[in-house]
Amino acid sequence: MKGYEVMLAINPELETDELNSLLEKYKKIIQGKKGIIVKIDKWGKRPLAYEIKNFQQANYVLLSFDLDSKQISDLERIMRLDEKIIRYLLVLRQERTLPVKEKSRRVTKQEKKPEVEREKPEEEIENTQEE
Amino acid sequence: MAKYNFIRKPIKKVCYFCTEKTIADYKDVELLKRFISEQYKILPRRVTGNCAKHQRSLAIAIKRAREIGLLPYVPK
Repeated sequence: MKGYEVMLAINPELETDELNSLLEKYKKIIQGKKGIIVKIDKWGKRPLAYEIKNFQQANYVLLSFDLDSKQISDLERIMRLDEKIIRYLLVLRQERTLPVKEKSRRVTKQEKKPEVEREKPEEEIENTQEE
Repeated sequence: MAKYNFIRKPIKKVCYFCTEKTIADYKDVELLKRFISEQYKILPRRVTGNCAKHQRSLAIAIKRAREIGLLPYVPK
């Protein structure tokens, strides 16, 4: 089960009822495939940066879910055939904040080998200066 | 070409993503707009000051945002 998120650009001329029924439909499809819906984020209508299918605006919805990777191609096929979805972007969910690993590594190395590492560069510098 | 300019005057710039400890996200349009030119081209690393890893993730994020219609490909 991998974490995915799909950003849907939906026909802006749909009414809210139609939009909600569309989202319900996809909720059921994902749950039917033994998936878990994590979050549904409605961005609302936004102007498109460029014209898509003669639309200047689109209704954006972000759907976060967990699903088995083998079921994804089928989900994509369903989205592609849906006429109300003008664009979709399906991505693996990424974590924004990276864990701070580097600092801890440096600390442990210095603790383990303090003398050996510090002596060598000092010796090298002294030699070149003397020469 | 323009190589000697950068040897004479290296501007010390820090990678934004390294200091913020994040990676670029295609959904964050306001952030991505800072890294594109007036003609909506992706700015090169020597201008943005990003490290290689984050420049790559930024490029991918910008391209995704363009695909989904959040950022334009070309100016009108």
